[in-house]
Amino acid sequence: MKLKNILLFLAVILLTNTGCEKYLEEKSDKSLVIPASLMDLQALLDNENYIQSSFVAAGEVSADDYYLTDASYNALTYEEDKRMYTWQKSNIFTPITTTANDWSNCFRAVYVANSVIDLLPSITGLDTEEGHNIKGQALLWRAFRHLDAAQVWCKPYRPETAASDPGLPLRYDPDFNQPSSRSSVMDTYNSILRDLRVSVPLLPVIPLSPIRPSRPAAYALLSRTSILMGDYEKALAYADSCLQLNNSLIDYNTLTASASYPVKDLNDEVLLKATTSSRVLTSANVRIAADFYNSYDPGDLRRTIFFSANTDGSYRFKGNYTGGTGRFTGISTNEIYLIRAECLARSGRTQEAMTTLNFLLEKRWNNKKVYVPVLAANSQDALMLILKERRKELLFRGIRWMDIRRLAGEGQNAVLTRSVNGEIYTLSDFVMPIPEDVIQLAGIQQN
Amino acid sequence: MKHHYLFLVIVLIASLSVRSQSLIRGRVLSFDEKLPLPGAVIRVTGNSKALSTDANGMFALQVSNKQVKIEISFVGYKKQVVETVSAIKDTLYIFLHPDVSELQEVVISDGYGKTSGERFTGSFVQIDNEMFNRQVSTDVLSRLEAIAGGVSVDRGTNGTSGRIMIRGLSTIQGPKEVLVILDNFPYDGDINNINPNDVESISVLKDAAASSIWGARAANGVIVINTKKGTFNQPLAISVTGNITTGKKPSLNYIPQMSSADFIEVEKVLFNNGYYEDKINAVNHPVLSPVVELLIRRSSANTADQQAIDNQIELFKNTDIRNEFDQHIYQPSFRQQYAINLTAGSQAAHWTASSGIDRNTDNLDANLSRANLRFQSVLRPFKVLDLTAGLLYTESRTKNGKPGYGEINSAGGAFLPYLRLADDRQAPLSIPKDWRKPFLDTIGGGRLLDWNYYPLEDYKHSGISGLTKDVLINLGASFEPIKGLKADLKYVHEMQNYSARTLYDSQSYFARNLVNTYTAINGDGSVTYNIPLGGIFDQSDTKMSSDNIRGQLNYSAIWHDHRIEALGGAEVRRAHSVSSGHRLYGYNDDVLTYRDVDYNSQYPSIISGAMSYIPDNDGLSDRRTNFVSYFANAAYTYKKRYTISSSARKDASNLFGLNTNDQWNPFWSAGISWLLSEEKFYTNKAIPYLKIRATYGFSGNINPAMVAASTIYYYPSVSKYTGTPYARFDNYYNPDLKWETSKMLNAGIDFSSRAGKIKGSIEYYRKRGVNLFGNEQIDYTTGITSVVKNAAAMSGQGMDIAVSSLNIDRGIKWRSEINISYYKDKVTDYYLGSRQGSNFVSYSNSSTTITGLKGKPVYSIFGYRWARLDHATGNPLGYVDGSTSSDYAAILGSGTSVEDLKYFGSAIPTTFGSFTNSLSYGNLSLDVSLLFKLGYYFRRESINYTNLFTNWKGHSDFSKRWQRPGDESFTNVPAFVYPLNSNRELFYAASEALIEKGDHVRLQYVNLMWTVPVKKGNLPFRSAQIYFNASNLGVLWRANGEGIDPDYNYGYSLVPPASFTLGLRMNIK
Repeated sequence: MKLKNILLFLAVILLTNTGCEKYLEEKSDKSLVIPASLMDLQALLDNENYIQSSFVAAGEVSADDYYLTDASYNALTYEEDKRMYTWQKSNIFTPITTTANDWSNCFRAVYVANSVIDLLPSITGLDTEEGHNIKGQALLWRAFRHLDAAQVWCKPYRPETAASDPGLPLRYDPDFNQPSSRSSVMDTYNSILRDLRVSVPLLPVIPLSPIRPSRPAAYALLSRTSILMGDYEKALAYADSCLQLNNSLIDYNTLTASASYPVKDLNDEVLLKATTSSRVLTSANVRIAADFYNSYDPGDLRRTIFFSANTDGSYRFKGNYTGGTGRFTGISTNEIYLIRAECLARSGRTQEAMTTLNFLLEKRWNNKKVYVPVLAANSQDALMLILKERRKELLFRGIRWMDIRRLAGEGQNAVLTRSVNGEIYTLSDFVMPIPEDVIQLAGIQQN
Repeated sequence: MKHHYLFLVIVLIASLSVRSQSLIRGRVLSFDEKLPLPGAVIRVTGNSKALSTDANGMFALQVSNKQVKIEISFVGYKKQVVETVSAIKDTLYIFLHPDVSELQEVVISDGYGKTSGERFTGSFVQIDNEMFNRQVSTDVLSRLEAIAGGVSVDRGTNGTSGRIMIRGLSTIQGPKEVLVILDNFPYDGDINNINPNDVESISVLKDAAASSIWGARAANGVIVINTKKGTFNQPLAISVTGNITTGKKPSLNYIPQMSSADFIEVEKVLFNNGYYEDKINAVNHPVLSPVVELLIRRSSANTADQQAIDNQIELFKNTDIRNEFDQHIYQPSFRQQYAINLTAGSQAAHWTASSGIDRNTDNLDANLSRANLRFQSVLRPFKVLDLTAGLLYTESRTKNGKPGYGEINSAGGAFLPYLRLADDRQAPLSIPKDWRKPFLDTIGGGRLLDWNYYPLEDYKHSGISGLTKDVLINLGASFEPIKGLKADLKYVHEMQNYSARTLYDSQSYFARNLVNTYTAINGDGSVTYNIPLGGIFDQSDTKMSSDNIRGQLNYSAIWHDHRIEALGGAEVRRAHSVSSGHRLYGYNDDVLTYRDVDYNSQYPSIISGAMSYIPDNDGLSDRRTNFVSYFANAAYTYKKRYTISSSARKDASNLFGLNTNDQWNPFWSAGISWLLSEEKFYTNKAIPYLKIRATYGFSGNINPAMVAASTIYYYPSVSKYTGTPYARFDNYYNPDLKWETSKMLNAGIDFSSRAGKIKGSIEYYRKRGVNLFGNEQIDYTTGITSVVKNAAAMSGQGMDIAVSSLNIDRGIKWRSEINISYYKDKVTDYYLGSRQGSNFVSYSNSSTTITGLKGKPVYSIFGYRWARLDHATGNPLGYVDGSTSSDYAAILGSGTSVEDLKYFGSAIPTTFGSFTNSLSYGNLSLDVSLLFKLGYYFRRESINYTNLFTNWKGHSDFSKRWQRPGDESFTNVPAFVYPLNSNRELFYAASEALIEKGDHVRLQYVNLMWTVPVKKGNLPFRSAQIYFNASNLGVLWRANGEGIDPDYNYGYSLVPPASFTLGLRMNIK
């Protein structure tokens, strides 16, 4: 102890009023702070454990790009995981007292975003570029999480019923004493759109790192939201806005196909990084059927970059945009190219649609072989081709589940089945039950 | 010695002036502590005239005869008759032996002052030196369970290490540690630093009147440790003690391990069902057991090879890893303890100096060595001023030993029952660790480091050592200008440095594994080590310093029938703790070199190819607790019969985020006592001493981790992606957060029969904890799963009965001491988010759920109702809506509310205590102590197939499982099925079928002591005792039929094996 400290200590003994107060206001733990600066808020948003990871996995688990063998299914430890895989209508999420689940992970991130938005007005520097950036980031994360959750716990958006279909409990206030109540699907999507639109001008075009939201990422999410709402015109406009700011595509010829994970983390296509992981979707469990693999042309580099063969004739996916086992659930330029192509096709602009698609596919083609552009006879043909390529490009990102939902109305893949231990299970609708303990604690309406 | 000559001169002059009469000068001291005994009665035999010794135990007696017999008597000591000649010129020293059968005056120290037990209104246990030393231990607190009434060690809800509780629980979620005071101030260092040989006595303060002077930290009770001190005018006394203890090897048969043959059969079934298929194909090659590896090979082998493989598997069935542990790992423990204590005093000063050394080697060859050095002195330059100064220095070193049962494991903590650790020639064998062996054998083509794990070799290369250095300096001045009015200033500075070093040398598995994982083999066959070759060195340092300063005024006065004792003062206290940790790669301990690594780039794992950052192990922390407190205490006694007392205290701390105005928290207490036996109307001759007392008061409990404001916690490192700091929420805004308050009412009587043959006390207490921190489970749509609030309240009540009796008092003496405590708590208020049954049960024996149900104990044991096993399937059956069901999701979910559960009772003993008998004959004495815990329940483990499949953790109950219809009539162990419903396992684990009564009686210790007969002058010491002590002697009776020791029912816990001590204590001339 330095002499100065001793003197200070002795001064306190005198119990002068101010000394006493100062002494009692010394911080009890230096690493704890009351968030009071922009740095504090940014630090909360840069915490990958809470913000960028643990997106909802239930959608991908329930989708059909993969299957589990009976052996893998039987070896699943949690009963809830088995029930989710077989599309049961109850007890498919572990209770919070057992492990964190999709619902808790999602709303924990929403809480951080809400807290940041709530604290901002009291912090100096609100009107600086950095202050705007932070506000934009928080708004975008809130919207992104809401959009993510809506794909699992809300019915697909249908303009006719959206106002009456139950939506998410929308929380904007970090005060945990406020009760939760379910909004409508329309309110949910409007909230997502509003947050994203407000965030656009606040966000920088080029972020410090793709783990932070940016303006192109906001446009990309607006585009994804619009397509999920069936608003193809807006989806196209937002896709264009995004691609104007960032249109990078990786030439897959530059990747090492033999690598365990050929696509790198934070690569040029990543607009915003987000990930999920699941006990069901481990690289060892997940099997891809040979006919899906065979839908890739031998000249298509994705055949070797995305897949490696298992011993049983099935394939395993190694094309995560995370450079590892983490499943990418963020947003990347290739998705936006595909949205653009789809919207163009849907509006009858076949030629432009196919140009966009071919621009992307050429980057996936082995440059030692001649790329023959894909042709479409009409817009419907183009749409079918684009949707097929969309499925082949965007695997294990939760997007397949979104597509199953939104395209079901168009008569595609209406009946999904799974065979487990000789029993056939059928997917009946596209809404999953809210975790039962949430229903008990919050008293909100179950799906 | 100067004053001795002075005395001699005075004696000479006196003897010259009085010719016909001689003057005998003497001094009366206690035999044990060599303390002067003021007020001892001196009389010449046959003469009615008597006189008493002065404050220093001195007397001067005029005698006329040449040959005289002097009788010396003193309360609490045996009367002594001394024959002497009147012509003696030297001072006569008379040592009185304590008479244990007589009522001794007890002096209680609460850390602020000392009070006589007679005038004390509160509840306390006083443990004297003799009682304290009946047990042998390296630390101080572990001895209390067997000797202090109302003190228990909770091993049921708090794991094997246990937690000391004084009168049960006072809080639900708050800190449960008792406050330990060393002499005058809370001890901030590691309590294990204190050498038990420095302890003079211990006061356990049990009720509010006793402890509320400690305010905001006293709710869990206070233990005051008083160290040995010198006195004025005392010749040099030297005492030496030494003991050696050896403990047996623990019995590994206590572990209910599944048999290797059963385990292998399960592996075969799982293999045939394809359970391992995904692991076999997984790109990250997760570890598989040797039997599964053999089964994989077998599936593609020819018939001859298959036979060979089957033979190998059969060999595994005969191996039990417990035997391997017993043979190669566990060893008898050995402890040594030595201490020396010197004390002396003159008229103007006294001092004590002591030193102690402890050296322990435990059953796993882990070492502890501790050295204590203590010096304490008082200087009295003027009659009115005492200056004190002291120093206590402790240095202790720890070194890791071998890995114990459950610590030699594979990935995820799993381990196999059939592994061998060494071959027939005792050479260490490798065991599967993180990845599949066939894969490790081929990967890298010989360019990687050996990737095998050899448990018997590895611990030698993973040295974990700790060094604690603790310095405590105390200074004090006490000024007494007028008799009765004393001003005290005390200051204590303590500094404890703890440094931990973990050195994984280049041979260790830890270092080899990390280096290999991050090694890249380039296209041209060259090797790049992204983690450099060499050792890995983790170092952490924690520096704690604390300062306490206290100013205090004491007043005491006696006039006529009145007696007043009062004190008041203020204190400031602060503790500051800073810690840091870091890791060095490529470390070479011989030349102290290390290599830099790149923490900011991702590297591919050579196993799976997945990209990851090199793990760092860096951290910093800086914590402070500051307190400002005012306190006062007063007691008034009238006619030595009626006493009223009260105390008050106000504390403020830097509890984060609270406004200064809200920080002051008052605590107070009041008490009365009435010495009934002193009344004239009291004529009961059988009970000549009877006192009634009652107190009421408040004390508090704070949790430094509880913060009222929303706070965020910064991680020590920066985000790998942005290079900027990142943080998470740590606390949520809660402006109403208050300190927990505990109110306690205590009423008791103290009694003693004639000559103290039977004496004791009976006390009744009620306590109410309010504003208790409670974990409130909330709707996690809010983003928060639970918040801590002052949401709970509890009440507890109980009785402490302590009786000691002298049953036989002839040549053989037989004394008994019994402590019985009865305790019951219940939750009176708690926020329950959900009444679903699953919130009230626990699924393993390693945790006990805080049930928070109004009217029930804080820790209640509930179980799912059990409808036996299904006749056809052997699946367990429960109840849903009143009928038997195997819908486990419903039973574990909304189908069971707390009302549907079976309630058993408290998880904490409701009746507990000790019963000690002491026999003595001549110089021999024998103490036997029993400990009992009654009226509670615990959950035992059984086979959990989920754990068996995923963590390889089996249970011997597997052999009792249901195998065919009809088995359900004699077994509750569910059938082995595949595939498995994990909820079935949870249901069984939490069902009533696995709940047992915890009641048991334990033989705590046996102590045999021989006092060496000392005849004057024939031996170089004044007194000596040789003793033999046996402890951990095991359970004598238990209510459960499973052979479980309820105190050691936690994970892989072993029952501490019996240990035996031989020791010597002596006082040197």
